Amino acid sequence: MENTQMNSETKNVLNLLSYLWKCPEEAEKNLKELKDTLFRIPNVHNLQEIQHYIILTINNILNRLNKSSSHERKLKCLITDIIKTLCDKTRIDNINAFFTISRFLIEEVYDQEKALVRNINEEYKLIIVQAIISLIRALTWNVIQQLYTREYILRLSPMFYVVMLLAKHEQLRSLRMASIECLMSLVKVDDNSDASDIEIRYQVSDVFIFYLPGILQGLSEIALEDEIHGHNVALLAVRAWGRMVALGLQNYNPIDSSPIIENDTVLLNSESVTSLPRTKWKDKAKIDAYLQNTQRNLAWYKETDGKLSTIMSSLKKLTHHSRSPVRLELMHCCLHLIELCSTTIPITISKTIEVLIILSEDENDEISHTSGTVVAMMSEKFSSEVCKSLLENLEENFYDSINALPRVCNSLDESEQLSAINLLVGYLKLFGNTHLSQVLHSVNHLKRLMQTLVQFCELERDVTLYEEYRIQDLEMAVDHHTPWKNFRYCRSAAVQTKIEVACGLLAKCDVLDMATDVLLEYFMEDEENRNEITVVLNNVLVGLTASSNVINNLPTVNNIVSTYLDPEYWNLPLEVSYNCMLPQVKNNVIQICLQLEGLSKIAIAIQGEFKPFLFKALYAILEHAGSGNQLIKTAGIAAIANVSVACGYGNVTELINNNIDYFSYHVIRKIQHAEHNESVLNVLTVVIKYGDMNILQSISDIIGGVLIQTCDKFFQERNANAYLRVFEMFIKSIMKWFNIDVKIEPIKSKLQQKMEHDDFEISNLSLTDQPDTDLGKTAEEMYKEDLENRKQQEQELEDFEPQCEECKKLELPNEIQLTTWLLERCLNFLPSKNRTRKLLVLEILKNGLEIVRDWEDTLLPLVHKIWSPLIDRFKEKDDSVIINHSFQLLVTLARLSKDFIRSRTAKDVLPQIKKILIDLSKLSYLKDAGAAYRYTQAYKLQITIVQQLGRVITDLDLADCYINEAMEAVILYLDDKQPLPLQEAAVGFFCDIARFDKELVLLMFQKSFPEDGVQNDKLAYNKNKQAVLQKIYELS
Amino acid sequence: MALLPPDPLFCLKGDMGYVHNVCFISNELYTSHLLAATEGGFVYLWDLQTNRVKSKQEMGNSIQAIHCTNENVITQEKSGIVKLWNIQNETNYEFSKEYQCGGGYCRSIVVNDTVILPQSNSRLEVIELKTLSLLRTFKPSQENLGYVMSLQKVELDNKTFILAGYEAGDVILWDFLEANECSHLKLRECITSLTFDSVSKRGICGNSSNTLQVFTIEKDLNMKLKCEISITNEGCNIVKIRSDRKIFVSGGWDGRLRLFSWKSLRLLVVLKEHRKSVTDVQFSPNIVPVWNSTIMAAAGADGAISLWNLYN
Repeated sequence: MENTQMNSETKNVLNLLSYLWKCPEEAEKNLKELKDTLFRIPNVHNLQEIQHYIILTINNILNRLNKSSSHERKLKCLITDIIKTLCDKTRIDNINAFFTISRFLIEEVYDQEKALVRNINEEYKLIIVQAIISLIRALTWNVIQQLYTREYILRLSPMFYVVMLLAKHEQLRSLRMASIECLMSLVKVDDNSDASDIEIRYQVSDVFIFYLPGILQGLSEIALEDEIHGHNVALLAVRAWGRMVALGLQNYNPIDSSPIIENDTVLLNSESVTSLPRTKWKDKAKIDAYLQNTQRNLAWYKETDGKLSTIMSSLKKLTHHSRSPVRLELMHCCLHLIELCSTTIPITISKTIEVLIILSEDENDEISHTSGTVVAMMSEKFSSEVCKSLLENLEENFYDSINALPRVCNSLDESEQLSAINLLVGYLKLFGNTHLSQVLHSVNHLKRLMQTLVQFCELERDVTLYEEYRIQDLEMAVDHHTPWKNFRYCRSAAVQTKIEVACGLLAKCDVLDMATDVLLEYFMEDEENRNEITVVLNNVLVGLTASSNVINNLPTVNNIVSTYLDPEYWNLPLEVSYNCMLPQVKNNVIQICLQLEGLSKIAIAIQGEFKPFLFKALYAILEHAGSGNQLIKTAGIAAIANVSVACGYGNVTELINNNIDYFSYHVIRKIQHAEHNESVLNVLTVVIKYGDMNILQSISDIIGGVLIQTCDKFFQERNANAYLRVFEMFIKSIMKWFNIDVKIEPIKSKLQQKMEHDDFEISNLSLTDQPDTDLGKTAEEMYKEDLENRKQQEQELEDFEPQCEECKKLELPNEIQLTTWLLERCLNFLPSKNRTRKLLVLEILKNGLEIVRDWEDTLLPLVHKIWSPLIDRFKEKDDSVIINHSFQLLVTLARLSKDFIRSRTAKDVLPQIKKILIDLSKLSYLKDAGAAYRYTQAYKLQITIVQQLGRVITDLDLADCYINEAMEAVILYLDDKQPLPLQEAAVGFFCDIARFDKELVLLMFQKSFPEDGVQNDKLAYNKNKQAVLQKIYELS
Repeated sequence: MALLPPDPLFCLKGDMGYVHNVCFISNELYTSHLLAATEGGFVYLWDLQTNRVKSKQEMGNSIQAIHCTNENVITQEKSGIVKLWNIQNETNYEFSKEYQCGGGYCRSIVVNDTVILPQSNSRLEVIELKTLSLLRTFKPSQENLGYVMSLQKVELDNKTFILAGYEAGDVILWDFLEANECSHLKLRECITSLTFDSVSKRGICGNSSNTLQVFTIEKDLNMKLKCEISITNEGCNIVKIRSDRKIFVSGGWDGRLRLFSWKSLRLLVVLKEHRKSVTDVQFSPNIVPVWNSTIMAAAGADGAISLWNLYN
C-alpha cells in the first residue's frame, strides 16, 4: 500500500519534471508543485534514483531563464528550496552535481561581476546558506575524497569566501549563525561530521590550510564583535575557530613526540617553497605549483603559530564576556587546542593556557572548576623537560600581563579589571609553590608585581573626620565594614576580592618573605603610597592562614608587626595643625586604620602565635580602640575583637583580664608623662568598658596613679574633663561590676519612722537630745565630734603604731576606698567655671555615693564635703541644667544620708527650690502640649523637682513647717492650666507627702481651698485636689 | 625644656616581694630569661619574650645571690647555705648539694669553675662549682676587718685577682690562685659593692654613705683612691660597669638608679623608677630579641624588676 503511494509520488515527480521540460512558461506552477511533492516524499531511496534527473531538469531551467525578469527571481527561490529539500533527502554522489548546485547557490547570493553580495532579502540568503549546508552534508564519502584535494582548491574558494562574507557582514543573526555553521560543514568540523575519521580530517585539513588565515581571522573578528550582536553568534564563532585551528594544526602524528621535526626532515626539499612571497600569481602554473607544494613543516608551523598567538591574545578579551555560555565555549575551545595542538603551536598554546588561567577564576563554577583542573594539571607537568619551553613562554606571558595591569587598572572597565586580575591569580596558582619563587626571583619582576598591586589598590583619600565626643558608648558589636578603604579604581567587590586572593597567594606560594621585604622597603620609603602599600601588605598576610608554616614565617610577621607599631607610623598626628594639613590628617587616619586592620589580619592568620605579640601590640591597639575618631575606633575595636578570638580568648573582657600587665605598665607610664596622655585615657576607657571585676586591682593602681596626678599641675585645667570622663566611666563600671542599683524604698509614714527611731532608742543608747527637729543637727554635731575624736585618736595612734592606720584603711574594700578617693578628688572641680566639668562631677558624685552608701563612715564625711560646693550650684539660677543635676544629687544625698543633711537642706536649699518652683510656675502657666517651652531645660528642671521633692522631704523627715513651705510652692502646679505632666507630678508629690503625713496635706488643702464660699480662682485646682483626696482616702 | 628622664622598657612585677639578686640566662646568641632570687625564698624565672613569670620555685630562704651555668643553678642564702641545683629542664631545678659559708649579705661570685664565698673571720673560700668542695681559703693578715661585704673579679695581665671589700672599709686585692694578699686600700666603711674595669684598671666602690669612691690598681698592684663622686642620698647597694665600658650604674637605697659616664664620671641621668631601694643591677650578656638590644635589669626591694635600654 505504502509502496504504491510512494511510487505514485515518484511518478508525480517524474511527470512534473517532464512538464518542466516541455512547458517552460508554466515553470513556476510546476516548480511549486515539485517542491511540495519533494517535501512530502519520505523515501530517500526512490528519490535518490531520480535525483540526477531532477538536477538535470533544474539545470535546464536555469540555463533557459531570462535574466532580470521578476519571474526569474521567483523561480530561483523555488529552485533553491527544491535543492535544499533534495539535498536533505538524497546523497550527492557526483562531484559535478556538487559544483553545478554550488555554483548556482553562490551566484544566487553573490554577484561576481560587482564583487558584492546581492541585495536580496535576508530570509532568502538564509535559505541559500541552509541549502549549501544541506548540499555539503549530502556529499558521499567518495565525492568528499575527490573534492578535498588540491586540484579543487580554487573551485572551492568562492564558497568559503562568500559564506565568510555573509558570516561577517550580515545583520540577521540566524543567517550569520547558519553561515558559520556552513563554514564548519565545509571543513567537516560541524557536529554532523565524524571527527574521528582521521583520514578525511587530514585530507580536509590539507586543503583547508590554504583558507585558514582568512577564515580564522574572520571568525575571531566575529567572536570579538560588540556584545550587542548577540552572544550566540560569538559563541558559534569561537566554536568554529577552535575546531578549525585544531583541524589545521592538529598534530597528526601524535605517536612521535616531535612530529614537526620529523615532517621537517622528510619535506626538507620543499621548504623553500613555503616561503613564497605573497605576490599575486600571474599564471596558473605558478599557482598550481604553490598549491601542490605547500606543506605543513616546521617553518610553516612556526609562522602560523606566531600569527595564531596574536589572534589568541585578542580572544582573551572573551574571558570577560558577559554571557557565561560564551566563556564556556571559549574554555572548550582552549581545552580542544591544548589537547590536540600543544606540540605544534607552543606559543599559541601558552596564550591558550593564559586564557584558561583567567577562566579558572571565573565566577561560573563549571568554567572555573574545569579550567582550574586543567591548569593544575599543566602546572604539574612543568617539571618535565617537554614542558620547559612552555613554562618559559608562560613566564614571558606572565611578565607581560603584569606590565599590562596598570593600564587595565586605569581603564575603570570592571570586567576587564576582573579578567586581568583573574589572569594574575591564575598565573600565581599555575606557578604555585614549586615555581613561583623561581619566577619571581628576579627582583625587577617582583618589584614590578608589587608596584602593580599597589597601583591597583589605590585608595580614595577622602574620609570624613567625624569626631565622636561621647566616649561612653563603645559599641560592643564589631563592624566588619572597612569604610577607610575606598578603592579609586577597583570599585567592584569582585575585583577587590580577587586582589586579596592574588596577594594572599603570594603568602601561600612561599614567597611571603620576598614579597614582604619589597613591600616593607616601599612602606618605609614611599610615604605617598604608604596607604596602598599597607593594603597590599595586609592582603598578602591574609594568605598566611592556609599556609602551614606559620612558624617559619614568624620572623617576617614580627618584622611587619614591629614596623606597624613603630611610633613613626603608629603615632601619626590626627588633628589638623600648622604642621599637619587636612589632607595629611585624612591620610594618617586611613593609614592607622589600615595598620589596625593589618594587625587584625595577622592575628586571624596566625591565631595563637599572635600571643607573644600582645606584649607590644595590645596597648597600641587599645589606644586606638578608644580613639575619638570614629574610623579609627571602628578599626581598633575590630582589631581587639579579632585579636581576642585569635589568641583563644572568649571575648574582649577575657583578653583584657588576662593581659592587664601588658597595658597597665604603659598606662601608668604615660600618665606620668602627662604631656601625651589623651591616648592613655582612651586606653583606660576601653579597658574599663570591657574589663570586669577581675581587673579592679590593676585598675586601682592606675586610678591611684591618675589620682596622684590630679594634684599635678597638668591636670588642673587642660585635661580635667578627660580625666573626669575616665572617672565617670570607672564609677559606672564599678556599679556594673558590683551590681549596684539605685534602691528606692517605699515611703514610710512619720509614725512608722518615729516608731523605728524609738526602737533604736530603746534598744541602743538613749539620746539625751530631743528626737525632733534637733536630730539633724545632732547627727551633724555628732559627726563633727566624731571627727574631733578620730583626729585625736589618730594622733595618739601615730605616736605608737603608725602601721595601725594602714590596717584600718585596709578594712575598706578596694573599690570603696578608691571611689572615696576619687569622689574627694572630683569634689574640687565642682566649683569649676567649666560647665561640662561641673556636670561630669555631679554625675560622678551621684553615682559614686551609691557605691559607698553602705559604709557610713565613708559616706557621711563625703556628704559633708559635698554640701558646701553643692548648695552654691543652686545659686546658678540661669543654668537650669546645673540646677537639675544638683537637685538630682540632692535627692541621692537625702536618700542615702537621710537626716544627716536635714537642717541644712531646710535652711540652705529649700528656700531656693521654693523660689524656683514659684518663679517657674509662671513660665509654665498655660503652656500646652505644643508649646516650645516644653522643650526647655527650665521645664525639665520643674518636672524633676516636682517629681522628686516629695522624696527628699520624706527621706529627710523635714519638720512640718518646711513641708508646708514646700507644699505651698507645689500646690501651684495643681492648677489645671499647668502642663499636664506637671499636674500629674504635683499630684504625685502630694500623695508622697500624704503617705508620710496625711494630716499635713489635708490641713494645707483646707487652708488653701476653704470649703465655704466657692472662690472662682480656686476652681482650676479642683480636679487635681480631688485626685489627691481620693488617693488619701484610698491610703487610709 | 628639660628632657624627661627615659622610661624603662618594661617593669616585671608580680608577687615577688623583695628581690635580692637577678641573673640573666643566655645562649650563644640571645638572652632569653631572667632569674630573680627573693627574700621569700622563691626563685622566679621570667620569660623575656613574653615578660611574664614562666615558673616559680621555692629554693630556700632569703636568697642573696643566684648564679646560673649551663647545667647548674647556685643559690646562696642569708644564713650562709649555698645550694647547688641541677637543671632538669627549663623550668625545674633539682637540689643536688649544699655547702655552709658565712652568713650575711655578701654575694658570692663565680670565677671560672669556682665559687668564691664569704666566710667567718673575714676569710674567703674558693670552692669548686660542680662539687662544692673547698679548694682554698683566703685569710687576711689584718684583723678587725669585719664581715666580707663585697667581691669582684679582676683580670690584670692575664692573671686573675679577687677584690674583696670589708665592713670596716678595707679593700684587699687577692691573688686568685696563690691566695696571697697583693695589696690593700682603706676606703669608707661599710662597703656594699665593688666593681672593676680591667681595661682602664679603675674600679668603683659603693658604701653606706653618699659617696662613691673611684680607685685604681697600679702596675705594681698597689691600689689608690682616685676620686669621690657624691650622690644626693646616702647608701648605695650596687655599682656596676657595663661591659662596653661606656657607663656605670649605681643603685641606691633611695630607689634611684644613677647612670654615670664611665669615662668622665659625670652623672647622666637619675631614674626614679623604684619606690624602694635598688638591690641589684645586671646587664644582659646578649641581645634580648623582643627589644632587639642588650638590656639592663634593675631589681628593687619594691618587688619590681625594671628593664632598661639606655645609652646603647
